[in-house]
Amino acid sequence: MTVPLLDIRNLHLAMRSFEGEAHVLNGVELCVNRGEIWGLVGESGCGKSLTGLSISRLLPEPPARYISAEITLEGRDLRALSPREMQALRGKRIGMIFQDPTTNLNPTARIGTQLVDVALAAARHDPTILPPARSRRAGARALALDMMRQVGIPDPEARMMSYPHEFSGGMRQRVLIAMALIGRPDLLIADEPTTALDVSVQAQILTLLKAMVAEHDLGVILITHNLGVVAQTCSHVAVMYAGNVVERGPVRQVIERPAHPYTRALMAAIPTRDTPRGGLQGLEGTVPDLIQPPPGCRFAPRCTRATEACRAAVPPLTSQGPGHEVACLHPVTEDAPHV
Amino acid sequence: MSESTSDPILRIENVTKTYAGRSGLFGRAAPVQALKGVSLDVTRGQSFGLVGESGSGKTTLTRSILRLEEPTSGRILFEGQDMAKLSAKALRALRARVQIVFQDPYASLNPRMSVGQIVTEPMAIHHDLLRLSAAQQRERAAELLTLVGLGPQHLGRHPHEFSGGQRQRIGIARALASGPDLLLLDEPTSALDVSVQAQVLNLLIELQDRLGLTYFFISHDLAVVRYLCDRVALIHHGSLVEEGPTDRIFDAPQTDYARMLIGAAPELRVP
Ligand SMILES: Nc1ncnc2c1ncn2[C@@H]1O[C@H](COP(=O)(O)OP(=O)(O)OP(=O)(O)O)[C@@H](O)[C@H]1O
Ligand SMILES: Nc1ncnc2c1ncn2[C@@H]1O[C@H](COP(=O)(O)OP(=O)(O)OP(=O)(O)O)[C@@H](O)[C@H]1O
Ligand SMILES: [Mg+2]
Ligand SMILES: [Mg+2]
Repeated sequence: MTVPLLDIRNLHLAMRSFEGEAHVLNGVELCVNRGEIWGLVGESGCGKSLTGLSISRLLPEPPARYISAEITLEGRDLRALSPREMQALRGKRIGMIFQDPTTNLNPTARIGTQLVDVALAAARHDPTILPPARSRRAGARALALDMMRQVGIPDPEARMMSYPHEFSGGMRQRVLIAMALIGRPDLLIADEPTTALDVSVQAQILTLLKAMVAEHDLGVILITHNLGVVAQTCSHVAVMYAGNVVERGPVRQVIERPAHPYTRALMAAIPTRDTPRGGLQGLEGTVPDLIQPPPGCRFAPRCTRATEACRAAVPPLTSQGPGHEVACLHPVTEDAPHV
Repeated sequence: MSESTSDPILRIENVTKTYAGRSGLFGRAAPVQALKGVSLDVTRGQSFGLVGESGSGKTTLTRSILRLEEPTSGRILFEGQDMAKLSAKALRALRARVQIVFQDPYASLNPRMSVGQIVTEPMAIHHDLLRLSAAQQRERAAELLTLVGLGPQHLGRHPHEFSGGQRQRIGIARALASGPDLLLLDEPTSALDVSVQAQVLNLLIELQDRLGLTYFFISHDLAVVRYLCDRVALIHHGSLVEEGPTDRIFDAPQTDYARMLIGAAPELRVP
């Protein structure tokens, strides 16, 4: 068996807050290979962004406290790296697009300057990414132009001179993708990259992302709350609930035969062309308090299938078919009603 | 629901809105034509959906209906009356009957006010019309909260103590406080999780069935519009490009814009 690109096991994270310490990640397990696009989905607050930030070690400790974490990139233990080594890895092997748009582009610097800076920083760790040129700066500029062209920004020479506010939302998102890919990363973590965009622009960006994966053979984690986006874009999906991956597998298996009652409930809440008026199923109850989380399966208090055993211990991921795993003692086995 | 358009509660007639160009560092920008001759009828008791991309003019149209913007030309009629010709008193009375629910349930509720104050505020504003005593206002607020799935026990609490979906319920209770016939809903669920969105959409349907409300519903999400609305209009660069019964628009779109929007919306099935 080959070593996976990214392997996360046993990721337990606590976050200190005013009210107390919240156990926000409760044993996350995720494994990503090259060429795969993993959709990471779940309701607001379930831990999607914190999972992404844990991989690239961008959470300050405190308030973050890792109770346990095994995270490897091609077999290399990321938790054991020095801050310097980790920074090099972020510039070069892991590309990130953050959910918070203000952390992404500097409003006062030209687009071209920002891209060239990122290229120069990445080249410090791997000079071979720069095309041959008179100087490093000229090489970085050529690379920046090439990336802008690849993500479909028309007339890149002229657009290098623009400021972020002169770009539309879709164009800015393309720049961010260019920036994240400029160091030729092996892994791209994109946190809600299309949430603020029109559906037409969203469709373009997602097509672009798929093309980039096919061309550069990277692994991607696409964080989104939109299961439709996952169905259209991803090869695999991991569903999170209150700090756990409760179901994961190839996208077709999970969407067409969701086994976890939570995945089912999430899907039943999404209107489709066949949902009759009033026929949408809301999800009863609310997400649990993570300062005093319920014991065992955190979904049990809202689950119609829950039994005593569910409240005793967190159910482990068990196989549900090729590559398809579910953390549930009473998985659903019928076909999903909507397919 | 009946297909008749004989009794439009709201009629928009050839409305245009031009914003003068903003003057900035580089001189005056060209004027923006936010609405270009928009006409539509909203039937009483129905849900009318307005869909379009960012910047297409949706909010400008809602603001014009609320008379927060003056249309450059054209007329907006509520129950046959031209809103521009109403006296100040008549306009105030009409405001009680047309209410809005905003997009962001986090930003649209005053954090310093209690839920009771938030929901009774429109009753105080429209006191000359509703004539409710303070005790009656509180009683009505409790009824409204129960109607939206909360309860009297929430009257003394503050917005930060509620989830996004609960806050949107409070926003709906507030919008219902003055006894409106028409609710303008500007992306009321786009800030919410699908699980919470489902609760709010079902609540809107239930309230419509019980109270006979009319909805003017703005959304980016075609699946949501399809679920809720009887008729749909698609707006593009300030012009309506297509309008009709929901099923017709989705099953047999007539324009490239409609086909593009429908095609680009990510559906919950693996291609
Ligand atoms: N800096 C922080 N301090 C304390 N708690 C935090 C912090 N950041 C996040 N949390 C908590 O951790 C949990 C998971 O947060 P996270 O941002 O990963 O959610 P998410 O799944 O990305 O949600 P969303 O879809 O809203 O972006 C939440 O309960 C959140 O309140
Ligand atoms: N006060 C204003 N002054 C100048 N231009 C304006 C003003 N308000 C809106 N516009 C312009 O009018 C057009 C329509 O804007 P509007 O806010 O109605 O769009 P929208 O369809 O609601 O978009 P979104 O989906 O992004 O909310 C846009 O080009 C916008 O920039
Ligand atoms: Mg997040
Ligand atoms: Mg708007």
